[in-house]
Amino acid sequence: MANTLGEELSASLTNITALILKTESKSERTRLTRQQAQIAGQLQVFIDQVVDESLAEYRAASNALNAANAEAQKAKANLDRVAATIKKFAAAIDKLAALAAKVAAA
Amino acid sequence: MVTTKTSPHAARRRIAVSLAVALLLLTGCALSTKQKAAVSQFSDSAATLGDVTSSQLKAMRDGTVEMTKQRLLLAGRSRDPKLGDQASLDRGFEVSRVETVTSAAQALAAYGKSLAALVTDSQSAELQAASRELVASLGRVPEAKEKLSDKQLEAIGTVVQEVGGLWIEVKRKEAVTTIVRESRPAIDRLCDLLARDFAPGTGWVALQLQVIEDPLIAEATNVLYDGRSYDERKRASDAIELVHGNRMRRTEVLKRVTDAATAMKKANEALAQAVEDSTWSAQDIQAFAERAQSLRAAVKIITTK
Repeated sequence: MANTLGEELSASLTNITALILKTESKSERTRLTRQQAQIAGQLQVFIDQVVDESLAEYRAASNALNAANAEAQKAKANLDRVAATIKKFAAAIDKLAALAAKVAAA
Repeated sequence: MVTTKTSPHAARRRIAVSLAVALLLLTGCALSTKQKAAVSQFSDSAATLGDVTSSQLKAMRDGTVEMTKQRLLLAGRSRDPKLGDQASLDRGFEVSRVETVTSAAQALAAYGKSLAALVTDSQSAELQAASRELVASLGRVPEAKEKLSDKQLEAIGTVVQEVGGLWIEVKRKEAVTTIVRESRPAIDRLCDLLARDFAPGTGWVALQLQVIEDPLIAEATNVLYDGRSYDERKRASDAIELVHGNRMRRTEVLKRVTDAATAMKKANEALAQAVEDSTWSAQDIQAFAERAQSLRAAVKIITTK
């Protein structure tokens, strides 16, 4: 129903704009331009109402998706950690070898 | 109680067999090449849809400011108080509106980029370097150096690399499957919102552009018809050109955003099935990729005009 109102106002605006483009009489055009502005104003009010509801829906969906994106980044960081863990393991072995050498020398 | 002594050779063979079995089992738990390709194609298209939609909204806002300015220049104060004026040049595409929808579009793009990063193999070289370091470290341990030949040390390095790589692949699949499954409702909702709000003729974005464009074309027509000098007609002509450029956005871009968002919702369903079942057809993901390409191509034409 609400969409129908928007579509009707849009169709009226399209029609009156087409008339303005075709009309040669200056006074007639002035009258049509005034009417066109009124229809555009009504359509603006309609859009404002629709957008107010719509933005809340966008915010809710964006928040949910941003949470998923944060999880994806965390998962990627975990994948990147495997090679680093092996490197840490290698470093630990180096330290143990150095310690063993010291003990053997003592 | 009977104890059996196992020779070192037999023990090594048993370990090798166990490792081979483990590797085989792990391989089945990783994403196949086809699945990775499906995720990559979906990710690229999602990033395109999100980025292009976001940049087009900013362009619509810039266009709105310019068109309102031109209307005021041509006709003076607004003929209706509900329309934009000198105090509200961006009427209809105010920062808060553009920011909210842009953030949603960017969240879609970020989702695409996150998925792409997850399936991109950035770890092979890292793993190779790490396993080399490990082998070198083992080689410095006197005990290991005595008992293991260079060939055996090299084999250990290969096994570490392979197991590490497969471990990553298994974790990769787990992560992709979970993220695709859990973000599906939010993706579907955003696709529905974009398809509804960008629909040519019925969505609020199209209606808003019309509210800005039609009054300007009317005022420009009045000046063009009634203007007595070249300068007056030139100003009218510039305004008509401005409307024309912005109308291209309404006629060409909006439809493509709607088509791409509708295709993305379908592709999202296909992706959820594709990551769980490698035999799933990637047809819907391909269709989404085509829509996203069409959107990118249209925007390129409009912006280079």
